[in-house]
Amino acid sequence: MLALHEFWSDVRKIKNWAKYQSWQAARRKKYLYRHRISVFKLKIRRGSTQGVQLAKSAKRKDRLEPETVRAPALFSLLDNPDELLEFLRLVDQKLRTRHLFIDMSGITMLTAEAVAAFVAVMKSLKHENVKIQGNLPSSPSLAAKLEDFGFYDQVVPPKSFTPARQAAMKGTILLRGNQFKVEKDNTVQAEIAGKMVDFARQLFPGDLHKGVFTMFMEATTNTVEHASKTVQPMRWVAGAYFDKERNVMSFTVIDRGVGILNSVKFQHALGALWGRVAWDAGEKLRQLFLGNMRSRTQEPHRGLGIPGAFTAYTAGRIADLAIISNHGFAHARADRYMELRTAFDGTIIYWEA
Amino acid sequence: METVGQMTLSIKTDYTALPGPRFRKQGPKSGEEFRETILEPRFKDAQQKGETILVDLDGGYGYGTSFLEESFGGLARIYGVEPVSKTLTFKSDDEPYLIDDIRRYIRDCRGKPK
Repeated sequence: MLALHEFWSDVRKIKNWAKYQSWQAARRKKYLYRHRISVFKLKIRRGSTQGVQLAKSAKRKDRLEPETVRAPALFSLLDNPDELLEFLRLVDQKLRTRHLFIDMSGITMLTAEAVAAFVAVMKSLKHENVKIQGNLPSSPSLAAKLEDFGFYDQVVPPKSFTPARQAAMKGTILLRGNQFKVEKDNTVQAEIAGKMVDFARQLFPGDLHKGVFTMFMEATTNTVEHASKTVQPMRWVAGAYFDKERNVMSFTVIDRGVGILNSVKFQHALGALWGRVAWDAGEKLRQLFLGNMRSRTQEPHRGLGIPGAFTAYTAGRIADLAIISNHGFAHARADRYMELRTAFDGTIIYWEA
Repeated sequence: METVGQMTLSIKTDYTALPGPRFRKQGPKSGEEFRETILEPRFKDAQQKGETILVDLDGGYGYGTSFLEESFGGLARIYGVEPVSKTLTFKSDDEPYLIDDIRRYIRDCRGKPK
């Protein structure tokens, strides 16, 4: 904090409202930097939470009743991205201050990639003392499907499992019904990609193209290289799952970084101008697929990963490709590129074999 | 098939079946490491002897574009496009399109060598 005499000398220098505001902003920034605290914690300290009751420490969450969040009826990332992302945002936001009860009873449609995204978001939470409870979908077939996806093995803490079940879940590899596998790291791990491919090969009836491994490397490299605001690499969470109904092997890599649209630049000056004026986030992702945007490193030989992934899709080496990042939604097979109402802070890369 | 005046470099047997990212800092078995420890010494050796190198890409799990670009494009950024194009030939029965991709990375290598 400023000493009193410093404060008054600064105040005297301020001549108008604009100067006062900028002085206040600088002062606040300096305060945050000095005390190394987040904006959120500062809000709690000042009690400015707009009437919402907050737990002032992680432990105090336990004294409050869990808050209920309803899952969207159409629990699908590709078919209902807006509602699902709003749901994920709410879960993330509310878990900062409360324990949660996820009401899944109203779900009428459930897809594997949405479950993978939900699990990945929960695995990438940074909040302390997180407890999530929930109920099953009302439809018995959907409840069985959720169980079959291995959802509960991912979200229930292993301590509550029987010793036999814990033994079956050794290490970071979590399997349920041989259908679902989740891994996470903050470097590009070809070994993990290899494990994912081996896992997929056990389940997938056809011949799995090597493009799947390539895609995994592209997606995780993208996260490690571009997702972080700082020099520290960002952690990614990857899921591989076999959808029995559709006979499809699906893969998801998710990070909670800055998002692709904040980490790429337009290739030409004209494009940059035009992009700022006319392109929505969906169109920007389409341009990224086509190779018209490039890496923030500005090096001409970089930024080949995502255009390469789209080429792999058009050449039939992977069966589908979708990217959700910031406000952008791009789904190659459906040829659907749009701007989302709710932004996803990070990137979801989804592909199928 | 190795011919007279041609060395063979199999990425799977000489380096790894699980090629990693572009740079060492990004993770293990990177393209940068492959270029510096395996490819460059063999390339220099082949140039001194006036031989070519057949790079065998088969047998592994696959390749990320960054690994290939950093390995072969990176080599071209150091030694020039023409010497690299003349010295290296490629074999990929599993993923034949990789050969065209690598040739493009060599041809389009620009920027400063890392």
